[in-house]
Amino acid sequence: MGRSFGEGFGADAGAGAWQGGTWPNCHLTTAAAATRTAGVILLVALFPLGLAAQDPRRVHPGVATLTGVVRDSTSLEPIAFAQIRVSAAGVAGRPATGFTDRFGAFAIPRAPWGPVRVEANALGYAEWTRDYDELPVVALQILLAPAPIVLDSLGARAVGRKGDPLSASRDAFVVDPAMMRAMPAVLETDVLRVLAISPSASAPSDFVSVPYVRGGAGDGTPVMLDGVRLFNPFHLGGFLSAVNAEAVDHAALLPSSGAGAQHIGSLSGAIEIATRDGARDRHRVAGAVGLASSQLTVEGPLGGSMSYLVDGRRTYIDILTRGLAWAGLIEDHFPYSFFDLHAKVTRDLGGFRRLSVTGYLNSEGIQYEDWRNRNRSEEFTSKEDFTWGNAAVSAHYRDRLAGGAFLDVTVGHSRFGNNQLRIRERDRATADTVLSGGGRMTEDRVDVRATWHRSRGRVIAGGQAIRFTGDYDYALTDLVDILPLLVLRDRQWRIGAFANVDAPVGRTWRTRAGVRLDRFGGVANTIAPFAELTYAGAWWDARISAALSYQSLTSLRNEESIGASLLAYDLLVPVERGPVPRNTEISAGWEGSRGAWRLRLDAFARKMDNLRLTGLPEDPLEAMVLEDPSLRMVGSGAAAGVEASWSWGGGPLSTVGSYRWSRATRTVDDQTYVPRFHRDHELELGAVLESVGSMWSARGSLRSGQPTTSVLAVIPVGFHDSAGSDDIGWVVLESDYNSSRLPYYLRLDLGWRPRQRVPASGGRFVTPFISVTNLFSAPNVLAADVKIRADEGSSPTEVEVHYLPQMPMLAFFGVEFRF
Amino acid sequence: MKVCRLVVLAAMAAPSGCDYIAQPERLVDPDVISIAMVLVAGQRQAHLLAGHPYLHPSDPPPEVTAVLTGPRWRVALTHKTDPMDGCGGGPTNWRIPMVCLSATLPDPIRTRVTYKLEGKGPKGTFSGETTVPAPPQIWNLGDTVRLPESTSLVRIPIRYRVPRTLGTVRPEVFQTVRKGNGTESKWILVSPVELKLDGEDTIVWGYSPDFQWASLNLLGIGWRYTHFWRSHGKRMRWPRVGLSGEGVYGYFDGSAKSPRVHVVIEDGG
Repeated sequence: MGRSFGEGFGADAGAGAWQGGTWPNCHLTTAAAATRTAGVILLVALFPLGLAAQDPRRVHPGVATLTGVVRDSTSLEPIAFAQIRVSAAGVAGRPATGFTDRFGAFAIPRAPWGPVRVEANALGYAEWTRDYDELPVVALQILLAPAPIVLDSLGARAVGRKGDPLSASRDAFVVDPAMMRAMPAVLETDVLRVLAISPSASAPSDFVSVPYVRGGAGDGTPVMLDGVRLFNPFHLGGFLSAVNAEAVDHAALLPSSGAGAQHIGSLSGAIEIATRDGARDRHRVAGAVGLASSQLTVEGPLGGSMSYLVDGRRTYIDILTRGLAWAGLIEDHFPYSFFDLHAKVTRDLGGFRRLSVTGYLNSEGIQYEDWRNRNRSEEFTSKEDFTWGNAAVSAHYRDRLAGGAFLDVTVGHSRFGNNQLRIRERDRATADTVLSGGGRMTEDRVDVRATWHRSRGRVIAGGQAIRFTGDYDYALTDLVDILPLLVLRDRQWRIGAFANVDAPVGRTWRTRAGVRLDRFGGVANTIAPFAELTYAGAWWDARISAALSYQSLTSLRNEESIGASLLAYDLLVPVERGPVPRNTEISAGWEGSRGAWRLRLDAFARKMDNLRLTGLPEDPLEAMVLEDPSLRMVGSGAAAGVEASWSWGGGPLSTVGSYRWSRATRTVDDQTYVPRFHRDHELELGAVLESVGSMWSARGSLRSGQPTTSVLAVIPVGFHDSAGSDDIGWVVLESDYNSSRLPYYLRLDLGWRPRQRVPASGGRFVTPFISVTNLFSAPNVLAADVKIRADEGSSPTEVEVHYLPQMPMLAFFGVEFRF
Repeated sequence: MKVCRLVVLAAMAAPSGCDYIAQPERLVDPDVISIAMVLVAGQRQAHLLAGHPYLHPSDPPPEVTAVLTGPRWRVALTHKTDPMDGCGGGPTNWRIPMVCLSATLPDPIRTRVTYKLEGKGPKGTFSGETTVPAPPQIWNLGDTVRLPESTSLVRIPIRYRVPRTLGTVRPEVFQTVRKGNGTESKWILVSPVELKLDGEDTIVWGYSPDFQWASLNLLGIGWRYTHFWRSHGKRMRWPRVGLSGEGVYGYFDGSAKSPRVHVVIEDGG
């Protein structure tokens, strides 16, 4: 039932499986030592699998490897997470099963030899069955016909459907566009917000969509788009994610840094977003018109073996508010705008071979020109532009090597930049334009990975080279509330190699183990092993695992700032010297499926060492979101918890939910505290009710309060020296830092989508959507602030804790269309 | 049908109101008291100022009992004195109902000796403990400083030693001037109010043509008071300052003064 996730294939003989074990914590000081150790580990790992190219049929008479690609029969797009079953015709026994990877490819090493039946299932597709006189020796091309079921559903009626976040991968919480649309939209359908239903993920506030994973901060959980890292992939300060849901094939939250996230090499797992290839049958247009923006997606074939997909979005907040200001309905317009653009071209080169190129661009900006100084004196005018955005391009090539291995090569470049331009009348004598601040961070990367499927197990080995550059110059910026006054330029290479082996041990046990070696240029060499052990029962499996991981990039964010709950943007820098941040984690999990129910339980404990943290702020309300890295100290963190997630689908109703209890701490400067973004308890529920032609959806959240520092008293202070000084003030006395909790959080969102077929349009749909967030206007709080009011010469009779609110009840609506 | 659904949706949304912002919580607890007590080395008087920080000045002062324990003695602070006399006037810019309790001690307060305070307030008992710090020592001035006659400012560069137990060092100047046929003496304000802790500073005050002489000493106060003073107008973590008890907040600290230095004007200067 459980499967591996990522580039590898899940395949096992019978029901699902999993792995475990522990490795010593290693930290080498020289590259040579790292290389030697890696070589030994790889040799030990690969030897029993007979890595040398040989015919697997000779190794195990009676079984062989079945390979192929599963595609949509209409659009010819590859179908990920489809289940393939191979059973010997006329022989009772458990079929060999496997699942397609993100490119629709599968390999089933222990397929029975002789007459076989091959079956394929996938969400929203009719079951595919073929009988063969003998196991096909060439790669199968399976075309699945779309089934006449409503796609906008969470239902778990079919095995392996992406719509059930738990069934697609044991390593990850996977959501697809169907689930994204099924949840009530917060302004728009949002990729990252839906991922927060995972028990491993927590949103720091209603205003920030990026999830924090298992007590780690956002810098430890990179967001990857088609294999390249996206920096700050959001708009409106983090309220909206900047990836168009229509272009997404699926998004996966990987909570662990071992196993499925080994190729990432991060502290707190990763978020991997895979985009669709684009239809190969005909040109299609889809889009949405919402309150804040509109988006359009165009896709179609380019010749016989190529396809394209282009999507873009542009806000009209600036245009709308300008119009309202012009009409006198508001005083000033809000000169903010954003757009994002994504394009992908895919070429099938025959068999498993394929090449795809993805490009991504987004930009945001605020132009202060005519609202800041509109009413000021005419002889002094100014214009300020603050723009920021990111861009990424990646190319992926897949081929099949001799011996049956799959080769994946990804080359990518990503960047995030911002500039603040200022033009002032008084500056014009010397310069028309003053660049008062600017910065960028870039990443260039090459990933090479090979996957071997052997009857004794699967081997993945790969290498990686990443160059990160942070180049910031904010010495003259006047955005001092947002940006630190710093000039910093740093670059670092990361050269990594990794390998893991996934192999059965007997009929019911399975192991997975691997190691990752990294050289962080000029800073450290590291070894990061992981190991898993899985027991597979008839309808359930259980596993234990341990992993170590490192990363050298650290954030300039001060997560204790209240502003960090309002702004998600981050600037990264590599650590200047070792030790590099390290994550050590252990986990145990159980997963079972009965009927329409699926339940997953996980317990985890992790320790994060060598973090770079700022000292505790005196006043989190005043603390800056981004701070000078020279102010940071080496600190540590820890987290432990229990997670439960479940899904159920029966008839027109389907649900998904999660609960998490955990503890998280940070220690810096000899002080241990609970980080502000953490909540001890989180319960998330999503439900979808399908009726004829429409869909109701609800999402509820019940969470314990975030940490806060409570005020014990406000008292006068003064000491009268002999001269009679009477400069008396008051002191706000607080409890230990973050030792109290804000009130609990409760929110219910509701959505409704009637699906309308356009008359006489040949299958064209228009889907209006209406959603209401925080339906009952629950007074959820973001932070607390103490207000003291006193008339001169009297006691402060009004000492009150005031709460900063989370999102109020808001209604959103829009229309999606698909032609 | 669809209209009906919209109506249902709107009806569900109707309870919104505009009260999604959580109501403020009042922190004013009328039974909370503030306590300020600083022992001064060499003095045989001890004063404790207690107040109701959230009540109107016309409200009755808090009912507080307190006992100070020193080496081989234990004295109840039972004498209620005018806050202007014994407790320096209290928070004059923040008028609250307050009481100044005082007592005469069997022995003068001594440096490097630990004293305990126990008492009871409206919400229960409280206690505290402090060790009176050693005083700052002036290095460079000797017994007497002779200044040239000035027309504007008196400037005295001063070097001094500050024990680590001191968090605040203040200059105190008691000045005598001619007034009519006699003289008038009083404490005057000088600059800076607080001296740097690195042991070197310059004390400045306005020169009076009628200046006769002055005495100068340094007052050193412990870190508990200093933490409070420096947090004035800001936030401060309460557990750092030692005084504990239900509903009682404040400081219990010690202070000590350096020997006095006489300041005179040079003849014929």
